[in-house]
Amino acid sequence: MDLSRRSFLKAQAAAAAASVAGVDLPAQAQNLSAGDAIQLKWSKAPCRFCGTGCGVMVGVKDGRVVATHGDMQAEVNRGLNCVKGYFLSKIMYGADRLTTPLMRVRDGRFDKSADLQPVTWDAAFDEMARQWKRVLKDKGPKAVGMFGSGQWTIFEGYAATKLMRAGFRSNNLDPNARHCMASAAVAFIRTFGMDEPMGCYDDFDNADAFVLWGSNMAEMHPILWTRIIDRRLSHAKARIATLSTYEHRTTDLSDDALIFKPGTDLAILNFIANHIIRTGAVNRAFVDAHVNFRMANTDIGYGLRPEHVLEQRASHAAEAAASQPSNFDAYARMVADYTVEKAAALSGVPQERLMALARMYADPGTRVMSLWTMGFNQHVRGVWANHLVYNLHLLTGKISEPGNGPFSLTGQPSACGTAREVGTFAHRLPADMQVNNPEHRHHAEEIWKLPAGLLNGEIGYHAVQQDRMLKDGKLNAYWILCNNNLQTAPNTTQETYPGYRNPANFVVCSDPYPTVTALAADVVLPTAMWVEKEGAYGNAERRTHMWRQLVSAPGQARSDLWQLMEFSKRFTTEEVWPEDVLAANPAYKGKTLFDVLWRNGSVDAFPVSQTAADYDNAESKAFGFYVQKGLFEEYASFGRGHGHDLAPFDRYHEVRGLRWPVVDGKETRWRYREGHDPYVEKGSGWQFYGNGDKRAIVMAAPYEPPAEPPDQDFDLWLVTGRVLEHWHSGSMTMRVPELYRAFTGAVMFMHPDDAQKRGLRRGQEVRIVSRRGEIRSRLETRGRNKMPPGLVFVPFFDASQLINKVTLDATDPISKQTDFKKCAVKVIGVATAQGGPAGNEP
Amino acid sequence: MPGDVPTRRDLITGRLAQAPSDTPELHVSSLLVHARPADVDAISAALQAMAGVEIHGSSAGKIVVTLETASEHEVVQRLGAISELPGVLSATLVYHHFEPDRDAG
Amino acid sequence: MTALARCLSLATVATLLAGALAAQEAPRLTGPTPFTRETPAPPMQRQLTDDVRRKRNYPDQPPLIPHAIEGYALDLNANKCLSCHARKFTEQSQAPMISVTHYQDRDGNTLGGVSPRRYSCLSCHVPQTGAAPLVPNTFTDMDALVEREPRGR
Repeated sequence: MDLSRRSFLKAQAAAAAASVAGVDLPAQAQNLSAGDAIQLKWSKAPCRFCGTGCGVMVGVKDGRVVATHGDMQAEVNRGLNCVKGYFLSKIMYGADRLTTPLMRVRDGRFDKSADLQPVTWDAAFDEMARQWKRVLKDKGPKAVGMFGSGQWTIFEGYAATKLMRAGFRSNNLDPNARHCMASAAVAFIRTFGMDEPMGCYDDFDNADAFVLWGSNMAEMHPILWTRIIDRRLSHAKARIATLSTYEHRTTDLSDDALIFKPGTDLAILNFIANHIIRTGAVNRAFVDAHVNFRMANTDIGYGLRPEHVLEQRASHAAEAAASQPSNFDAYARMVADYTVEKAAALSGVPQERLMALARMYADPGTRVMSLWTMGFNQHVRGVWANHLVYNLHLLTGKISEPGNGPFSLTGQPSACGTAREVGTFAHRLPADMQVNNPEHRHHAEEIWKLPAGLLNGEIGYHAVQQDRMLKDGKLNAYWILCNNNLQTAPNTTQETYPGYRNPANFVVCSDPYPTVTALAADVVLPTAMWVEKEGAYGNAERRTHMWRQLVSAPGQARSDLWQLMEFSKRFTTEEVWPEDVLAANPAYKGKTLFDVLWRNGSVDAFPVSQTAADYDNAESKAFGFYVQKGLFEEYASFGRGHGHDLAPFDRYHEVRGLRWPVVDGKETRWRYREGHDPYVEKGSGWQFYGNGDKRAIVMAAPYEPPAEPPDQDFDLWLVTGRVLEHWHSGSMTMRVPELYRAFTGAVMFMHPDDAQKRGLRRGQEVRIVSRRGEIRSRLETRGRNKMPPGLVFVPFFDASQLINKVTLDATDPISKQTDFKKCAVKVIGVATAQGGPAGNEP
Repeated sequence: MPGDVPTRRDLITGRLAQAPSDTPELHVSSLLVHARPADVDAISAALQAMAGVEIHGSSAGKIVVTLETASEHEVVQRLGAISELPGVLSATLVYHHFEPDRDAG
Repeated sequence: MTALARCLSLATVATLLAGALAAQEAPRLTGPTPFTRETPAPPMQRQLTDDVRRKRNYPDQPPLIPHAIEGYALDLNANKCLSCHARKFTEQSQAPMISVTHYQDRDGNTLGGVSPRRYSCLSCHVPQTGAAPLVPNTFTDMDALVEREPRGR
């Protein structure tokens, strides 16, 4: 019995006796605390986990977060959270929070072979600056890099992009969102000329058919799933069709579950297009007015190292992104090959079920919403998969109107807001601009008030390439923030870990907790997280939302924003900028990067007095101006008037987020559609104004096989992914006891027949072996995921079972996003492998 | 309150089959102690020296006391001891509650 | 370094050392040391099915599931959870009734039955295993802050 129940019972007993005697007891003896004692300070914040962007209310008392609940005012979730959201209160309170910088030190000096020891911020930053300057001097901007995050706040991503591109003149900045939705982002730009969905979550309340392409929304986007289920059970016509490579909680609740062989979604998509054309379901008026056709280059390789045989063999590995103008007839001829017989044979899905799915898209009276996340995006033809689903919506004109539209979901809370909109990819600038476009660079230099010609036009290293270059010793000073890449990158034993421990490299990791990545770094910086800082995220429906700093970070932990800005004080322009640029712009001489990047008249335009009186703001106090407001307003000037309009900063603290473009104070729910989007001219119906001629692209692309199908030696497909209870790499959720106990460690899901064939029993320890590495896990033949024969699923959240030692570093050659869903493995019982008898685990 | 009425869950979980005497108990009770006003201070000091006794307040010779014990027997014992303190006119049991103490033992 | 900073540093070192020791057995948070070392997979944990309610961390926390749910149907035809926890079945089942919020639509209007948006019970309510936490969690229960010190003698 805990103390509080004892006191409660005693107070009750005392009160009973006192009332009999007519004795007035002091207030302490009453049962209920009341008045100020039970007041909590409630403030809004977005959830820290997925890209849905649920609103939560956060209750604070005495400087601690003591409660959270779903925000009834948040349109996204109206009071609901998933189990992770309901336990947000505990994510900051793991007892092993990092509270001081650590560095590998021996005899008072940095030594890469030494153990991590506590040091001061000054000591850590001094060593980092020394290493950065050494590398920049010896090898130039190409040898420094940064790996960021779709979990960064918008301010942090924006500060990072300025520090890297303008400060260090390097585009070797990429977010972990590369692993997550680069295929979606690239396909949006290739199709519509602008990134991010045209529709929004209001589509859930208007659609008749939901088609989930490789998405397990019941676990991965549970709150959006509640909106789909709400519609399915409330609207007589509503149906859910889910395509997946195995059965799971989403297929349990779907009207139809189509289980296809990995990679053959491309064939199914082309079959549906063929069906639409052959049955006369093409919306000719829409297509004639709003669509152009292009033919993609084929045989484009698998994004492996160039010397890999698969790249050598591919005819267009070097021109993977290229496409040629085409027309409807040529496109129709190309997809004519994809008959229902062919699609059924390739995919393993029965013909009649493929037909039923195709009819949903073809029926002009059925409003269809297509949804996808990692199933499409982590795919060696991920960009194509995105294109092929757009093709279906463009052929039928089912796009940009309530209930009709393709909708790309995201996995991180600010994959859209920070990674994409701010432009923290190796090829991007804010507002969809590109680093290799001289006009775009010039525009950025103007807004940033920097010398003309300063920015580097060479596209930087993407995520997987960063790991390869670290290993090869070409990328030498490297800062990882807000992610756990050594756990989540592909093929880590061969391609990631060697680079971190390469003696030529200096690796820094900023994190709230001692993750796998942090413990492999040379310097570890303790980081403030979530409501320990003022922040802004952008969710999957273009909603920008903000929160205040509600509590202080423990010990010496500081936000990534503070770290990025404070570090810039240690560099002068002479140390990092070319002489000729400074000679032509002498006013920039003798200044620190802090002066030229943040003390530029716009980032420092707002005084600390404008921060909220009843909330702390550590960064603004440290630097002497309202840091977040200045960064946001400078950033917003990139997009205002260009279809990316954001509202004034202060408004976001008043509302539960707004969906851009926000024009004249009004958000936009359906882009490209007359009557909904202020950028669309009257009388046009639709305008895909991201492209010069305001038309969207139908891209013809065929089915091509995955990089590493199973064979005699490695006879199973391996699919990796997540579970409801653990997000990101588990570094937060595994420290919440209730979430840990809800899914206590990774297991390998396998079909019972596959287990029996190998003489394996449920619970037995198994080795999962690929050509690259192996791990040990436990066999699960029951539970929430039901595998078809020939395929196993292993989640990646558990550091005791680092499944990415096994995965293949093949990427989509266009988006450079890793395919974590398809490689070949074999599975062996641990006891069997040792030749002994089977163990006696349950 | 656990142990009051067997529920369907008790049947499902087999809780009924558990021997109740094995479970440690927590007894919380309250007493009203009538004392000569002049002796209240001395009596209060004596009460505070007794294990499990807590004074919650007093007024005009009436002292409100709670007891925390492991058994009903101890309640009776303590009640007797208090009655015998010099200056105590009466000690009455007003409230008694007990439940399994899962943390004890 | 200030005295405070030194204290915190020592605490961190202690934590890291403890982590390193624990890592031999359960490196679920930090992974193997060194990274390339092969580690055995910890055994699977059994679900707790003692049917004892756990205290919530705060009033809005969804209650945890203290009983077995293996094989429970949760599809478009059947919802086994509701067959005990829906208001109309709680007398026979003696199970706790799902909370009143579950009878409200998105706008907070109370409905004549369970809201369809609450149909996916397992999005919020999860069973537990008996696993010991990997690290302590120092979350503070609001009662500890709200209630005055228990009055001692």
